[in-house]
Amino acid sequence: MNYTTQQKLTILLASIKGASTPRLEKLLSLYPDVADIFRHADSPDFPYPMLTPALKEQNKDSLEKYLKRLEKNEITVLFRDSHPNIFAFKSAPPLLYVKGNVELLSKGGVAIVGSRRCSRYGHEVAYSLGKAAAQGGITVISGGAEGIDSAALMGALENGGKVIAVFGFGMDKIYPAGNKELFARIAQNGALVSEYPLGTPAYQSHFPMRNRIISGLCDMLAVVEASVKSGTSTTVSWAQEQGKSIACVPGNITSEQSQGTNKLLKEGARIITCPEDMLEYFGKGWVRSDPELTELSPEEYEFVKAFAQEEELSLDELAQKCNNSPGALAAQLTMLELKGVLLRTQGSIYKLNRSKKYTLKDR
Amino acid sequence: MLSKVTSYALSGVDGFPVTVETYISGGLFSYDTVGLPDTAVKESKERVRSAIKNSGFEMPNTRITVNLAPADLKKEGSVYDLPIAISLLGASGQLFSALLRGTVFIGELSLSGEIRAVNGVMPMIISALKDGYKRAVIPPGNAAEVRCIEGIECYAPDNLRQLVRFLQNELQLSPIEKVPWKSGDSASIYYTDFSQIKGQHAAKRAMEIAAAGSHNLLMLGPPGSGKTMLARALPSILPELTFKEAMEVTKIHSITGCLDPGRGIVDCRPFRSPHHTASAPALTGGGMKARPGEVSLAHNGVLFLDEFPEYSRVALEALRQPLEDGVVTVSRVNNTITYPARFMLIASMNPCPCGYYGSKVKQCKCSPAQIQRYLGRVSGPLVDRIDLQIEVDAISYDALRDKQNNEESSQAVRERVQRARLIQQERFKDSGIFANAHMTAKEISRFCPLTSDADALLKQAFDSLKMSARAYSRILKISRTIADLEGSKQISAQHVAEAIRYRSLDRKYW
Repeated sequence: MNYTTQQKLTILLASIKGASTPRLEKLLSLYPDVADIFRHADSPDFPYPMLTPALKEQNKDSLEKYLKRLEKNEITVLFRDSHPNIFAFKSAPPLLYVKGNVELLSKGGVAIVGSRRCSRYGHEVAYSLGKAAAQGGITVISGGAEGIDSAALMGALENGGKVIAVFGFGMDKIYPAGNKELFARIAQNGALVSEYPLGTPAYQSHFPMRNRIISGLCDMLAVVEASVKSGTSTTVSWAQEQGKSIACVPGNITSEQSQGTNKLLKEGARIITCPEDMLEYFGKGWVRSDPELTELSPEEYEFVKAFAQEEELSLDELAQKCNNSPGALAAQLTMLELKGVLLRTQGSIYKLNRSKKYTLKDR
Repeated sequence: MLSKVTSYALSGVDGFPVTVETYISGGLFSYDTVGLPDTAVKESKERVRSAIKNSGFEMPNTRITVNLAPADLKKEGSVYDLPIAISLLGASGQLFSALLRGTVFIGELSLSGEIRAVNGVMPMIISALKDGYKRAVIPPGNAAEVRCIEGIECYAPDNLRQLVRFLQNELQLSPIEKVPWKSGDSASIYYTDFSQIKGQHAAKRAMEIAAAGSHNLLMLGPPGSGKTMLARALPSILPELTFKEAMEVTKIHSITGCLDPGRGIVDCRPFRSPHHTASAPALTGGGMKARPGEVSLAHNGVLFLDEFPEYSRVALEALRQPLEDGVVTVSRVNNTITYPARFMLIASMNPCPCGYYGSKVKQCKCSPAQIQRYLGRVSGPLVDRIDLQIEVDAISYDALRDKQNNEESSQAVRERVQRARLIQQERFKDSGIFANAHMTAKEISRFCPLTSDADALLKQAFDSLKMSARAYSRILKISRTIADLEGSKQISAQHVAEAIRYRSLDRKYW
């Protein structure tokens, strides 16, 4: 990557510990020539004397070293001044570190966000929204945290979609550690974005600020599940400030994880009751294929009937409803799980796969 | 004069003969014990002297030397009080008896001359029988444990005086009556019966399979779901102890002195549940004298570890060798001893720190990282050695309130388990193993042929459920046991499908 001298110096400036985005903004506005910042770092009217020693330490070598490090990590630095179409949102940072497909950032997309501690329902919905976006050719933007974020990203990735994950830490860090593999896949099939220089750990305070980039890059923000007091609320307020459209997935009114989204709906957010609602906003239709018809034997059909009024059933409840010996029940459950009729949620609780249709096999 | 008497000492679970020699010579009074005696053996001097005097005999007032041969092996405990006293009486000319030769003497003396119980009598007597001894004198307190040993006459006199009169033919003593071996009724010790547990049919079925094939079992579930109660009910469905197994168990329990004096021989499968603060040596055995630990005390029975992740990592990892080999080797400065330790491991744990992950009762409040960290306390290789993994959820109030008791009794389950065990005993009669759980790769390929349906199902399960390779042999073993419970020679798809259900944890958690 070829940077101009000014850009190189900006990169070096941003890499200094303590040079946070607000300080960077102020310095860049005070000194039109970035080299002046290094030159005048020890002058009495320099606004951030605590940065002086670090600034004075920098030289050509340290710059080259840092640029090499960026190159080794396959990171491109984008600048607000040279990429106005990407940094078109309010409160955009002066620069972004990007790994992967840089083009993707200017194309917009849907941001799918929500609680880290999501319910099975939230996980499923986030996944299906990610999948629908992939099929509609819409980029999915999210935070890369556990729960809704990961589910949406996985839904898109596994169906050949493009995704962007925005980090609240340096690109060479991984948080949560369990998502290492996911992030590696995103770097291949999408973009990883961060406003923090290499080596910045995942501080809690970074995440609310990170959220403005998520909302900034998207066209529409879709909140799947969020409690009233959740980090997602900062993303929503950023989106409001940036004038982005906000949509929510309604949830069970007794579920804590849906109270935030239901509240937003009450306040006038768009409602997403199916993936088509989301696609419609982007002007894309989606022809839902008819669910495949699965033929089941009478014993197997008993299980489908058992779920007529229940969403989830535990092992003992199933045993009661289907009136089977525990051994035979265990065997049947495995068979039905392999057929994709039953889904096993956390623990030994089963759910019917409602995306399929079931009929009794004719004898 | 010199007098020789035979006694026994223990090395691990086996006894070896110790010759107690006493030599009385002229000179000033002195009393020396040689032959690597420990403190308890050295102290026997005072007990022997007092017991001899209080039994109406005379303590020689000259130079006494007691030698315990072989002289290079350590002698421990108070077992030698009685043989020393007898040989001393013989050496001092107060006791002439042809019975001294060919009789094994074991016992501690009280100051008044009474014969007191000691630990490890049963393994000593078994070794004495093997070495060709036909007669033994043991403390009355240990009489119960030798009742089933045929081929050696055991006498249990109350005190030294009685014993001397018996040896001199002045008194008739009848040997301890032999009782034919009969497996005990575990219900009389373990109070929880399966019929007392409401609901939990899936867990009970898993217990039945575990008991039938001697498989290890891990239960995950929220607090209050009945994991402990289920585990406590397990002994009531375990197959009967065979005589050979009972002997092995009693030997170990005799050494550690935890035999019930009234019952003597251990006739039910042991159930050990050490607290989670137990150290690694407490579980595997150790201490200065390399004593057997909980894994050996649970030999041929059940080791129940409640709150599995709360045990120290060291203690848990120490279980790996005994789980694999069925024995545990304890090495200490003084001794290296191999104890048998073929036990069924039953472990229970919460699925997460708050306990409610995957429960229908309450929402879990833990983050995925917290759950990972909690489960990470139990290492993968250890979980790998646990064949069956099941989830236990709390049961509903309706089920609890259900007055009708149509739960199956332990007796009925036990009969099925017993039948499955008989099939296994027949199958493995030449291979040195007893149950399906102990099959190695060689035996699995020989005894676990799958029907083509079953094979196809297993393949499909591996592909679509993302099972780990290590689950493969476990599933085959469990399927074998399920087929045995049904009395089926072939392993069908049905059996494999059920077995997969009990392995589902390793695809989700670990």
